Amino acid sequence: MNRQALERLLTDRAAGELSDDVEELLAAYLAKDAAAAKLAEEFRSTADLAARALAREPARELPPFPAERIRQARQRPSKRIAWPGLARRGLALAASALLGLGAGWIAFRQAAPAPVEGPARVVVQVVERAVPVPAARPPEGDVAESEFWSAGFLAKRAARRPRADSARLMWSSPVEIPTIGGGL
Amino acid sequence: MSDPTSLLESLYREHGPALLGYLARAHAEVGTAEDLLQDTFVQALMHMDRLARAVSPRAWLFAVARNVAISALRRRRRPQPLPEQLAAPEPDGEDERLAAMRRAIDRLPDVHREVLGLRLAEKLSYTEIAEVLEVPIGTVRSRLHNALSRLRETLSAGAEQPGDEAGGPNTERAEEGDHNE
Repeated sequence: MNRQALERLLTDRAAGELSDDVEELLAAYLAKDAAAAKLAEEFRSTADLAARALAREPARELPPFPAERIRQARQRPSKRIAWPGLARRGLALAASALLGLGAGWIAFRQAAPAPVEGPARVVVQVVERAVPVPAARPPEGDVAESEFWSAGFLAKRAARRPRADSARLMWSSPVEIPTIGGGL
Repeated sequence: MSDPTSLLESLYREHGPALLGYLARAHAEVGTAEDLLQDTFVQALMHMDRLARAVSPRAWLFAVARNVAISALRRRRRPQPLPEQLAAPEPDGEDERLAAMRRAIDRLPDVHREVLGLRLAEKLSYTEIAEVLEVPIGTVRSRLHNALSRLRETLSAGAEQPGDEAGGPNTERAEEGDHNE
């Protein structure tokens, strides 16, 4: 047996915490090992001396039982909050609320009318608004070749262009190309 | 015996003297042991529901007493007088080895001295000490072993050097080998 294990056993024996079987085995071991027996004796005498040293305090007279303080403490309402009980109640409430919400949602889903299916027809009306262009006064006389790119020439051409103020865009299906119908 | 007051009174008669000695010995710096003992039983009334789960009523009461003393120490935090162990004069004709042992015990770390006192003076079992201190049993064994080993070495050396007195009671924590099982 190594010394550390032996010392721990001797401590347990000094504290009276060894079982009878282990006590007997240890006694047999100590009988065969003089050094271990000497160490055991040192532990025992140390524990005895320590017990005597700790017990030197003279015995005090026991004061009377504090019956009055205990009676007052019993009458005083407890300030302690019973957290476990409160938490249990809160959890039960939360679980009930969740259950109710879930049941309500399922009932709502079952009671709601099914959406009506049919051919989808989307009509998109596109309104094209003509922005009035300030009419430029056309130049007097014929347009000279040098005036081909002038602002006056462009204004005159714009005034001659046929107007298409609005049109109807027919879009019968999202998967088809919309067509432009007549004006409004 | 279902009335809590009657039960407490019975426990008071049975364990009051041991608790009074424990409070006087281990927590003398906090206040009078008699006051702490009465506080202990008032507190015990508040936590009667824990009595059924305790290892033993004795261990439970020691745990309550210890907590009461620690709470009182935290509340007061005033300059502390010398512990009784040091302040008390040595009785005449006392064995020198016993005096040396007292000095050696006073120099033990608090955690070791506490376990030593609970075991050797109050006669609590390892299991009960573990409940009082709220530590594993392995830690109790380890602390007691360390305490006894130190005391044995000190006494074996026979050396109570004068310089050793300077440190006073050792308030260091257990520095070696607490085994948590």
